[in-house]
Amino acid sequence: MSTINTKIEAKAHVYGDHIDTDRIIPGKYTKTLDLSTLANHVLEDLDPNFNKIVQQGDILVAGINFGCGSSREQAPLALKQSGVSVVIAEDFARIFFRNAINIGLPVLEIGKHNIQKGAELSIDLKNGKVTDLSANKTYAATKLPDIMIAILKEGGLVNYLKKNGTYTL
Amino acid sequence: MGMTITEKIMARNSGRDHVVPGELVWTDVHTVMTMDYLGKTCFDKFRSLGKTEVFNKDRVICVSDHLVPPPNQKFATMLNEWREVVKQHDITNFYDLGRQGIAHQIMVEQGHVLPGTISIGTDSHANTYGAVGAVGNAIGVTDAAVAMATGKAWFRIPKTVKFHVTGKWQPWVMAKDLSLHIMGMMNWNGHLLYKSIEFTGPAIESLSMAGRMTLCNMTVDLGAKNGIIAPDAITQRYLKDRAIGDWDMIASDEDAEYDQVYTIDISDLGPTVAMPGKLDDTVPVEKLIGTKFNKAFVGTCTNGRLEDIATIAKILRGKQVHRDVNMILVPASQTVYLQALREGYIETLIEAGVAVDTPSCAACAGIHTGVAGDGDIVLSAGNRNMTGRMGSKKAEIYLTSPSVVAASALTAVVTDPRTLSV
Repeated sequence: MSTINTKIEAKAHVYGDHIDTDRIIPGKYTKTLDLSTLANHVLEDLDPNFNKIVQQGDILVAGINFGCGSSREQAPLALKQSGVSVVIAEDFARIFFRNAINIGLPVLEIGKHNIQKGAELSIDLKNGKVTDLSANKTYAATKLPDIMIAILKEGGLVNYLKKNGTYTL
Repeated sequence: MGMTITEKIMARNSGRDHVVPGELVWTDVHTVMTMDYLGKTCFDKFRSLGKTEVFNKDRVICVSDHLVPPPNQKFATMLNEWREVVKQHDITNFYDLGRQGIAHQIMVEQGHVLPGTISIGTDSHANTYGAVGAVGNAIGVTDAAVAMATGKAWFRIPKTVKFHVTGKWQPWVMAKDLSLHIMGMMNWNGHLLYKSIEFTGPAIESLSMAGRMTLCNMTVDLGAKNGIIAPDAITQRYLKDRAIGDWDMIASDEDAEYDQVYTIDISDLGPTVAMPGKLDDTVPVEKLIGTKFNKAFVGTCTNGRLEDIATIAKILRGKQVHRDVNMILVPASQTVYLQALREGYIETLIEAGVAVDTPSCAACAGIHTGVAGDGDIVLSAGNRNMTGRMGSKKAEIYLTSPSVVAASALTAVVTDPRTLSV
């Protein structure tokens, strides 16, 4: 699994509140960890075109409680595999949040926002800054602890542990 | 400054004297649970860490619950792979078909969760373990694999919100009604996201272990990290012949700091129902009297326990489920099933026209045993009602307590159990 950059500049795909894990990747596809299958069906119940329009590096933007529902790790995996480089939301369901960090998909909470579909965003993961270049507006995100940045940089917790043997907080 | 019970458990298990919300800790976990649906993936990930032996063979708990008994060849094959991998790792506690139950029920009833400790599981309702004063936490397969290898997991210390519950429970009103009431009251607006929920007060102290499990179980659906009730004499009695390991009566400090404290008087709380599609859209049962439905379901890690079965048996004894309703009961475990059989509840229910099936997650996972088809209107004692949850996207799911499900099954319309002559 690829490692990530801490500075990202890309286009935003914007969706609403309470997007649950079933809408991220329907349950019927989750008996697989085949990444291309997951990526082909990501968000299909929410936006059947998502899989066709998403470009490598794009940013997913959502409202509150993103990723609620099941503990399935395929949800962040499917998003990561489809090319999404980071998910920005007002806030996240906690299981999704930790699963995302664990598999190496950056997630940032920015509270209430007004980011529009297609906006160009610039993201500084390390300093927790999200800039909407299209609207010329900057949002302060909840800063990720250094350990989480380190895990993300390695592409997830498995890679991180393999490399470091253990970790300390 | 004192700590809440959750903070104390996090501190104790990470070798710290004190923790504060927001801090990251790397804690010991007492047990790691995984199940048939995701377990093979967990072990594969575990091996990708370069490990072959789990941190403790007695403390990785494996359960077959989502796919059993296999309704098709695909699941049968998945189960074979699962059994193989469990065997390969020489896991002591494997609750396979025949000794099975819903994982969360198994974890508590078989003594694998203890007050003051942390247990994690690869299924969202692991919050259930808070019923005995443990921190129960749902995690993904990576967390599980890492914990299987190291016996540890990372956590951000949550803020704690206290629900202090007073008053006397009305007849037929169950812990589930309080869960749904809180769901409606909090309006699922994110106030409880990442937080620990602690239940206190006389109305909680009077709850049985079954009721406490229901209450803690559904805290995950409020967005909370965990739900917890401090151990007391009821916990002590429950754990006496079950607990595997030592434990103590851990409790919040008197000067613990809470993010919010809500006080609820349940004296006026009646049976409560969540409307199809949204858990936080709850109404008192009175508002739905007369609403038609055609499927009744009692079971799941939320309401498949002996007390729930006793309640529906009491309502249905000597009566008949309405001919326009199919009612299914799926006990939460083989142990529960056997107890219900010995108490005569199963006989009562079969005589009343209830189909009783082998313990599993059943239709709650939308996989098998009574899944919903197009046009079905389900009255369920389960925990989730989002569109498509039990199968068809063209089905509607109302969530409520076992007593409302049973009372309504007699009439084929939503019925207030308090109006029955039982």
